[in-house]
Amino acid sequence: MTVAAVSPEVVAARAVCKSFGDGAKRFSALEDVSLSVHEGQFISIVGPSGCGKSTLLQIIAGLSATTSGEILIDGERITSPRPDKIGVVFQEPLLLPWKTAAENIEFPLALRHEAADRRRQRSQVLLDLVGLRESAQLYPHQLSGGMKQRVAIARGLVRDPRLLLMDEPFAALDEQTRTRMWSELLQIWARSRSTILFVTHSLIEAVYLADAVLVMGTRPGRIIERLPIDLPRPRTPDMVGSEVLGQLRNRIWHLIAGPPT
Amino acid sequence: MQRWTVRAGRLLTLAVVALAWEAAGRLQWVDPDFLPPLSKVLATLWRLLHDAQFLTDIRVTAVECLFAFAIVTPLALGCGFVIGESQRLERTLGPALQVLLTVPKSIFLPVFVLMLGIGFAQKVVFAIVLTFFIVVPTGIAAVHSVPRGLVVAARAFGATRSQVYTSIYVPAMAPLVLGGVRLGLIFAVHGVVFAEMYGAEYGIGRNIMLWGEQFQMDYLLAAVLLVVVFTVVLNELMQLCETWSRSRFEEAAS
Amino acid sequence: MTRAMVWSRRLAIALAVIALWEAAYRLGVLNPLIFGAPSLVAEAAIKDGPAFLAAFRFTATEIVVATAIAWSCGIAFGVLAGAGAARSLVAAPIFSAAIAVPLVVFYPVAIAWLGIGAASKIAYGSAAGFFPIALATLLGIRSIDQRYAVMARAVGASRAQILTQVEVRLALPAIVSGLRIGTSLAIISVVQGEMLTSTDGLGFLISYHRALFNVGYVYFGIVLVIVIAAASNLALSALERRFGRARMLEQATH
Repeated sequence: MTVAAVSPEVVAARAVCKSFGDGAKRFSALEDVSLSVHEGQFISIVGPSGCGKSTLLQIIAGLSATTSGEILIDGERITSPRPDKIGVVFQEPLLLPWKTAAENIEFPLALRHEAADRRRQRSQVLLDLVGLRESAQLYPHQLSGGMKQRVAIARGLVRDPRLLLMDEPFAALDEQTRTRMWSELLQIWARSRSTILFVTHSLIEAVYLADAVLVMGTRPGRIIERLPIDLPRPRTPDMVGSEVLGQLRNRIWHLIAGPPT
Repeated sequence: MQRWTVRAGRLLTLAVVALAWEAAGRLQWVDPDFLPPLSKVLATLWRLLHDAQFLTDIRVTAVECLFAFAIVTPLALGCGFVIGESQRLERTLGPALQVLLTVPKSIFLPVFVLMLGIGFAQKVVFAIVLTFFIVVPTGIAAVHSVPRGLVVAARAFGATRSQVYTSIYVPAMAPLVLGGVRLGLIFAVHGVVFAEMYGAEYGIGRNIMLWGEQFQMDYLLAAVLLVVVFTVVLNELMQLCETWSRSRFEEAAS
Repeated sequence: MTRAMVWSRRLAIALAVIALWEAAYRLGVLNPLIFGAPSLVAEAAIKDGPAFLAAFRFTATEIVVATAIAWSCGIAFGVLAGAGAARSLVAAPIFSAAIAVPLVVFYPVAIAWLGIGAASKIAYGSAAGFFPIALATLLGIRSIDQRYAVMARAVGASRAQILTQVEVRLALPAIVSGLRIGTSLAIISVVQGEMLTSTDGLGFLISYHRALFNVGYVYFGIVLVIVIAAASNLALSALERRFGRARMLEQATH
């Protein structure tokens, strides 16, 4: 069951345009992109390489500025990183190698000089959430790829943000770890009741995880269609091979690649 | 556009330093006896460059440096190549080299004076010994920097030994070898100048010490300025060669 | 090989060298006036121990102070210069050029301004150590993976926090290798200064006894300088093990 659209709107993009360079070398990465995500939803963004989906995510995260148009979080304009409202998970875990898993999760809190015991409490909660309680004192080099990304997800959630942005977080993992991470992520999402905007280039991943998929086209980057995903929750791994999912995937494929000849 | 702003930045820094130096002496920010203004130092330098004795000293220093450099650089690089090519040699001699590197070799200068007196040979030999141990590791690194994968591939395609050397070894090693040459020059000069300052009959180093003792700051600073400009210019030229060879290698590799 | 084994092997080699040295002396193979002998060194130690100890303390103090200044200023300036792209492009060639210059020519200037005591040697030693450390720090900061900075920005770090808590830490292996070179140069420079003009210190004693042809005393002084150099080398190796490249690689990979 998808979350009712009656819940408040967490993030909105209004007519966002992003271009690089000027004059003859002007390159339009995003053109007139608008979207809306409501509280508790899991929305995927999928598109071919170079369609600007990562650029869009950077803009929503406040890491990059729009050329025109605006991003609103809870109705507030976003022009710079807002770690209190937005958590980000990147394609690489980017954990600081000299800090333990717990310390990495606490990093955003340590930057705000929060008290050690409050930090410790918070990281404990999140380690439980992502299922890494025993790995709290381990260093990144002692963790597997999937574990590192789970720590990164925990770090993204440590300030209880309104929105968690995920930029192809499982792209660097092997297929089996990836499939396991799908289940992990959906559990984490269900338990934390966060709002997630998930960028990926994998059509199956986009469909399997989300309530709705925003399909992006390229040159210029824009949203072609918003496709609601009616698969029941909780999603189970055998749904990956189901006909329904296959049809949805094909639908997206044709949107991106053009109609069948 | 950006390269010009960077160049402008460097020239600006230079200009600021020159201006400050001039002002410091003229405006009495510091005692002009201790730091004569730049103009005075340049005038002194100009006079010195027309002085026969000074020119002789320059020639002596330059010849000593050249000799030391020309002997030690191929020697040290050659030894580096040989050691780098052989795993056994590297394992046995490597630690010894490390140890010798940690020893400050300048303290042995008095031994060289005891051995060879004060003169051309002593300075050249000292500079050679000082520079040798610093350049050898560069030679080893240069050999290691040859991408073995490329060599194997080339052989598989039927390249002859000399073809492999000229088209892979030389361009790959060139940047590091040129770096080693530059190091050799820097330390050869350093060794010769230090030895001259310690005890010599001729040479810029001796003059520098003398003028320092006699508190003739304008002469001292003139000589120092000359050495600084000369070594910096040489260093820049060599670095250009290194960068050029590095870009050539990227081409050759592809 | 365990640490104990490595150290006993080193000890064995050292003892062998000493034995050979003494043997060469006894057999008259080497000119005793130039090469001395362990027994002569021991004799000097017994006869003039306190003087050498005082000199040792003097030199060691200068070295510690010069190193401290070089480290702190070098890292500080390196971080500041490395933090900005334009800044680093201007500063890097300046640091690199300064390394090419034989800074020993500035020593008489230091003497003229600061006298023949410890101050001039500390100034010269600090300057010699400063530039390689600043350059290595600058290059280290410039070469780190930029994505960590993006991540830090996303979690709310200020520019200063990104620099000090993330970038400097990531650049630490490069900084530590710079510290190695800088410390070594600081030590060499302090000793060189003492050899050229000084009232005290091991360099001074080495020079003094060379003039008197007291070979045993000369080598005793040399040995003591080597002791200082070796001690600092050990300390830096420990630092490198804790913060250096190998540690970082181990931490970064799976």
